[in-house]
Amino acid sequence: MALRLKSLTLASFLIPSNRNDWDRHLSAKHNRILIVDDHQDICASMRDILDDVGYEVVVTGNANDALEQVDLTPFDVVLLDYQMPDMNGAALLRIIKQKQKAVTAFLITAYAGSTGAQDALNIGATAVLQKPINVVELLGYLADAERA
Amino acid sequence: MDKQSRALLAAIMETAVDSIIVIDSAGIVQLANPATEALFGVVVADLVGQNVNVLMPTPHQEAHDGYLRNYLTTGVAKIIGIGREVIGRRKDGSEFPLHLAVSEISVDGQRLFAGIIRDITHLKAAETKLQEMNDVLEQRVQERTAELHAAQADLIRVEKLATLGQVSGGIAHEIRNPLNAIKTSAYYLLNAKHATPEKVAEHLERIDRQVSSIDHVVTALSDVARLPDPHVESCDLRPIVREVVRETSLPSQVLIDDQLPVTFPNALFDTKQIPIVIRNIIRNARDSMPDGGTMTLSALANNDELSISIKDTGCGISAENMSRITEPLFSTKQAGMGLGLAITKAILDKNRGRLEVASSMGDGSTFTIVLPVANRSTDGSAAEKPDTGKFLNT
Repeated sequence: MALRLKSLTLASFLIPSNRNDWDRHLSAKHNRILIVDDHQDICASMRDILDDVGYEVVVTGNANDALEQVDLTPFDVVLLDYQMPDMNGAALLRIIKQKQKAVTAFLITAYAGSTGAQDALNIGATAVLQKPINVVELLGYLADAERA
Repeated sequence: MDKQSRALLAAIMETAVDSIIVIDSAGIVQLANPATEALFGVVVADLVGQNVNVLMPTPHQEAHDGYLRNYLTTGVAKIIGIGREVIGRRKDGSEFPLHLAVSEISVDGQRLFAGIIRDITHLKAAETKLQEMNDVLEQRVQERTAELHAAQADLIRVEKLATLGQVSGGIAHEIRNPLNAIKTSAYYLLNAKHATPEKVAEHLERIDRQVSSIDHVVTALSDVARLPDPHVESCDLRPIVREVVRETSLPSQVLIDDQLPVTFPNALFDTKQIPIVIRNIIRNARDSMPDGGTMTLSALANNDELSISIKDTGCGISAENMSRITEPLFSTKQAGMGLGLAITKAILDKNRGRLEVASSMGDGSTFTIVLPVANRSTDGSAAEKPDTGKFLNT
C-alpha cells in the first residue's frame, strides 16, 4: 500500500502483465538498487525478486553499512526500512539525499501512517510502502523510476 | 409591684414592637398589646375574650385547645419555655410565618401563658431565597461533578485507546515484518523466471520460518493474556536466582556480585513461573550493559513478604520509558519483542507478588521481585503457611 506518490506518471501503471512483456522489460538496462532492512529474510526475498527481473541489487542490514555502500558506488534507487537498529529510514534518507540528490527513494515500513513516514516524504521519498508490500506495485514504481 | 413598676410594664406593653398576648389555661385571650393589632389586623378590644386560636390557621386552630389540655395534664412542653417558628393567621385570613416564645406565669393562683410573637416574614423570605440559591448551587455542583466524572471517563477511554494504539503498533511491527518476508517469497515462487530448486527450497523454508515467527508472537501475546494459574509452593528463591544466572549466557565483562544472605525465609510462588521472571530480569540487566558492568544480587525479608533485587550498572531507563516498560510489545531493544517485562508483571500479579523498579539514567537499574513470605524458616524445610492452599485455586 502506498501512502503517497509524489511524481507518479502513467508509466507506473504500465507494468508487464505477461511473460513476453516481462522479457522485453528485462532486456533493458536496469538500475542499481540498494535495499536496507535489518530483517534478513526480507532482504533476501527482495534481493531474489529484483535480481530475477534484472536489477543490480545490493542489500545491507543497517544504516551505517548502507552509507558505506553509497559512498562506494552511487545507486539509482534505495529501498529503506524505517525501523532499524542504528538509524531510522527517514534519517538515513536525509544523509543519502545529501550525497546523491537525484536518488529515487522508497520507505518501507510497518506503520505507513507514522510521522516517520511523513518525514521521509518531506525529505524526498517517492512513496512510502507499508509492509507487507505489494510487489507488483513496487515493480511499477521501479519501472517508472527507470524511465524517468 | 409598686405603681412605678406597673407603669413601666404597661409602657413596655404599649410600645413593644413584638406582639404580646396573654391567655388563660383555656386559651382565652386576657391581654394583648397594640403591636398585636398591626400584626394580625385585629382590634385588641375585640380579641380579648376570644380563644387565641382565631390567630391560627387550620389545623392548629382546631388542635390548640388540645395542645393546652395536653400540657396541663402531662406537663410536657412542646412550645412553652422553648419557642418555635409557627404560622399565624391574620383577620383577613392571610397567613404569615412568626416566631412564638411562650412563657408560663401564675397570677393569684391562675395559670396564664404569655406569648411574644415576632413577624419573621422577611427572615423566612431570606431563608427561602438562600435555600433557592443553595439549591441552584447544589445543582451546579452536581452538574459540574457529573461533567468531571464524564471528563474522567473520557480521559480513561482516551488513555485506553492510546495504550491500544501503542500495543497495536507493536503488533503491527512484529507481524508485518514476517508477513512481508512471506509475501515477497510467495511472489518470488509464483513469478521468478530463474528460480533454481535451491532457491525454491530457500523461499519455502523462509515462508515456513516466518509463519512460525508470527505464531510465536501470537502465542507470546496469548501467554500474557491467559497465563495459567500458578501452583504455589514454599520454596527458597536463592538457588533459583543462582541457577538462572548460571544458565544465562553472560559476557565475561559482566561481573556477578552475589550478596544473597546466608539464611533466608522461603517464599510462596510457582516454581515454573518465577524462574521466567528472574530470567527476563537477568537478561535485561545483561543487555543494559553491552560494554560490561556489575550485576548485584541481593535480598531482604520482613514479616509478610520478601524481595530479591537484581541491580545493574547499565544505561538505565528514562523517565519517559519507565511507565511503559511492562507494556506488551514495548521495547527499547532493537531485537526485543517487548514481552519480557509484560510477562514478568503478569506472572508476579498471579503469584501475589509485584515488581518494583528504580533506575537512574547512566547509573543503572534495580529490579526487585517482591513475593509473599512462606515462613521464617532459614533452611526451606519448614511447613508452609496454613493458607497456602488458597493460592492453588486462584
